[in-house]
Amino acid sequence: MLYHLGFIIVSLLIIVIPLLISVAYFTLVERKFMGSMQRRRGPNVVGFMGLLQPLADGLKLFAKETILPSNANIVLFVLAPIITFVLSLMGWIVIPFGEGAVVSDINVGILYLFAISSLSVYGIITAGWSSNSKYPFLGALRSAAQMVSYEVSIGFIIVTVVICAGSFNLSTIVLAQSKIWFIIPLFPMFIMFFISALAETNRHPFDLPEAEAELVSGYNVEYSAMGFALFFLGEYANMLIMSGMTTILFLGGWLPLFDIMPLNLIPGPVWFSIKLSIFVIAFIWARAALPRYRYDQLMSLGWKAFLPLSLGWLLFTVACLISFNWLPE
Amino acid sequence: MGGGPTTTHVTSGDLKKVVQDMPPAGGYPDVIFKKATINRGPDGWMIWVGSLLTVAFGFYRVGQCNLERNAAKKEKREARMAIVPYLQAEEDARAVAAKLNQDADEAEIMKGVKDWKVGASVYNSERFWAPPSPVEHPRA
Amino acid sequence: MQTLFYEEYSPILVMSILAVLLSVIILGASFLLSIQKPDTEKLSAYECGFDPYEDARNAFDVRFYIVAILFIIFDLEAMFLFPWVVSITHISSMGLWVMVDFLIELSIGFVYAWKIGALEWE
Repeated sequence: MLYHLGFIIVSLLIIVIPLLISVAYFTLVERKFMGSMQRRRGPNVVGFMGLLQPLADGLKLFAKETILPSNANIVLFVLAPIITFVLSLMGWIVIPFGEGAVVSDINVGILYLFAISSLSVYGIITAGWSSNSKYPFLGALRSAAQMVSYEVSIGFIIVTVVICAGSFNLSTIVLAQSKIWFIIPLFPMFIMFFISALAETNRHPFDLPEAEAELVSGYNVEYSAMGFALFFLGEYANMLIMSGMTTILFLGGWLPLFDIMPLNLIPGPVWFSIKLSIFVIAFIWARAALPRYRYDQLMSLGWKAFLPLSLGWLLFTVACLISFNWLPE
Repeated sequence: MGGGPTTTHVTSGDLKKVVQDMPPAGGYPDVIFKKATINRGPDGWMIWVGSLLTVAFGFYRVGQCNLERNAAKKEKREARMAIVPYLQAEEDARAVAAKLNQDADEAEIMKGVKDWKVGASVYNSERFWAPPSPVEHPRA
Repeated sequence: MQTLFYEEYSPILVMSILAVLLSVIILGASFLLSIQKPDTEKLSAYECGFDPYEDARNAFDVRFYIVAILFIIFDLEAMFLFPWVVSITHISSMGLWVMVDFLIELSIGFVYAWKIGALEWE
């Protein structure tokens, strides 16, 4: 029993430690990549080409004073970043990096990920409510309403993918794409899923709730030092999870591009990382290139455009698969 | 008082001589307020047709993959069903050997007891009792 | 006790405990190791330079509540779709039409919500 516990802890640390490092370097990638797209260099002072910048950022946040505002509810105030961070780490247990390379191969993997992203709304609302001040409260409400609106269409898109694959198990969904990746039959769903992922993680062009001009960084106004760092890490880990979900659902997870000889030799996790990086780059690219949506435009897109469209496409997929007898068992 | 204007106010005669900035003769040309876009790239109908073909091809391949996976699962299921008699035979042999051992131990233990039938059934009816099956239901 | 359930779900429990421990360590270490010099100005709520003169617990727009209720309805609709898609091979055509009937009823509700303006301005 203790041996089993040790084994689990080691396999979790194998995921958590590289995850935290990659989240830290994701912030650096974002700054340098956005800088390149704006024809300037990103941070390049701290280390060689700026590679020690995340360490410097982390150290700065670590050494700052933790401010607990006088009229905030202290317990909830401290609990909110913990909730956000814990939930964004917990999603990584079910992601398959390679054939059988998953910590917990549960039979309802995609449902678990959907539940985790629904629970993330709690962290935001707790943060906004417990910092007893107008701007965080309004920012949290708007952020939560936005996240919740786009989760409905994510649910319908997940259902569409599952019907083509036959099971909620993430490894089965990946293996069901061995002949063709689901991006080709379901590419409108892919586009909608990616846009909903942008909205779900409060990411540009849907980042009105944390825009500096309107709401002064939204629900984490009152947070300083490590509270802010935990929110930040949670947001970027959430982005990585959404990218991971997109590659598993649409881009064939750890499967190679074609099943031919030179591409077969590249191991599965490397393919997974390459495909995940494509979406990380796409997140940053969307931030650099697009103007921000107004809040009512954002909500009308989620409710009036994505919901009917994803529902309609689900019915089309089901009808197509049933009539030709192509359903998986 | 010699020659000069008869009053000190500005009269309408003075106003006619001022040069003003008037539009040119015929007015200005029309303002172009439409966006000067160039229609390039595929037409709308080509995008629709291309998407439909891509989606149809994709669903065809998904269908092939699903048919293959169903066949593979069916084969695995049927292979497991085919070896059930052999597993049952092994289990029966083991059960019979265990029952004989049990009878021997029982005869050993209950040696001095009067009117003890070794190996008698413990049940009151004559129905057949099947030993436990070695095969679990696949969904359990 | 090495059942499949135990094998698959125990990492989730361990991960939640590990993540909570990690975040508590991060927060605690930062709190203990940094210089704390609280004063009234720093601890007051942020209001763009003004002093906050009233509590933030006042009424908010009812549209957020409406969005939350609509989310519950449509999320539950998605939840009803989840068991249907994994069992659709066993209930093939009849199951499809039953679910289409359910979706039509919910779509009528959606059209109604659209027409009365519940999805407006937000």
